[in-house]
Amino acid sequence: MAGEQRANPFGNLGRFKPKTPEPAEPDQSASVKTAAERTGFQSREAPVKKKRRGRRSGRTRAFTTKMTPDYHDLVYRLADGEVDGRERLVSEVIEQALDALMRELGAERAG
Amino acid sequence: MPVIVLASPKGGVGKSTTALVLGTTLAERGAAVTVIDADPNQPIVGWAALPGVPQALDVVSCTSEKEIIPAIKEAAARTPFVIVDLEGTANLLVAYAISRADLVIVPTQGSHLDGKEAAKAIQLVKEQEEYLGRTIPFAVVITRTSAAIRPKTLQHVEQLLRDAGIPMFRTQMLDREPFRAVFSIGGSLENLPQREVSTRDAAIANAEAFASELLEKLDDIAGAEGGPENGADGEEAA
Repeated sequence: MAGEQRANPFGNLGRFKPKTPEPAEPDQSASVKTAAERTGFQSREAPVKKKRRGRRSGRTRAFTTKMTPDYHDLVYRLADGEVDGRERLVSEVIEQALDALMRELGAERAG
Repeated sequence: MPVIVLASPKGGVGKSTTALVLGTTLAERGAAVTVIDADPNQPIVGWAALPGVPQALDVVSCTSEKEIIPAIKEAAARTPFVIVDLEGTANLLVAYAISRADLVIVPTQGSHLDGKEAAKAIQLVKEQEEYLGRTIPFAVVITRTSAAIRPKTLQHVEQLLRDAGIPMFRTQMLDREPFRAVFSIGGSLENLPQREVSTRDAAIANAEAFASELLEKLDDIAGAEGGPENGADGEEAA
């Protein structure tokens, strides 16, 4: 119709603003995951596999011991290069730690 | 303000088409929009590699469960509109995206098979509302309908949705050639050559009607939440 004015629904898009980043929010991922699993929505991502540390080293003696969780993690962080960027075998971590202890004690390594 | 998530565990119901049409329609009319392509098939990333992407539209790829929430937060702090296109499967990434949504759009075709899949997405929204302790607004949009005929099955599905009190878009996304053509030619509906896509203007009208109804819904949601960032005064940010 001549002279009829229609509202423009896109004339005022500026009323929508970016969100203000919120301060640290509680992590709700566990709740989301539970709700998802209850309705059949499952993760499709493969669980992260632990790195293989199985390269041949020429060492032949097994060494098994119990450690506190903190020192256990430290051994693997050192082995994975997370401390200084250099990857080592677990056996090398222990060897280098023993060498350092011997140096501190001022003792000579036998053999 | 709005994070709009398109979700349905059924593939081929028009999630990516609806996401792209919405994104380009808003961007062509001056709104800054980020579309997060969270579908491993990357349909919208593929579209963005073609020429004609509107200047106000940014496409971000994110298909990782761990990274989807930070990606949505980052986009929402940068642009007023964030549209998340998800893969058509029932996976955890869908759930994480829905947890950050201001509105979940559930596209479905007018068949019982599709309707059943849409119900799964709605069930997930409801379950999350309970676990997260907040309302997650959602609405179903019927897609790929014919402009000429309204089959009985479609009418029955619409009736079932209405009877179940499911919020719905009045506007349906019609099965229009231009909605497919943008994925092969690139750009927005407005840039499609009329001589190649004869129903372009009808598709633009459909897209505008849908986007306009979306804005209405967002205003209703904002009103219900008590006047948030998109205040009713409508003044531009300084």
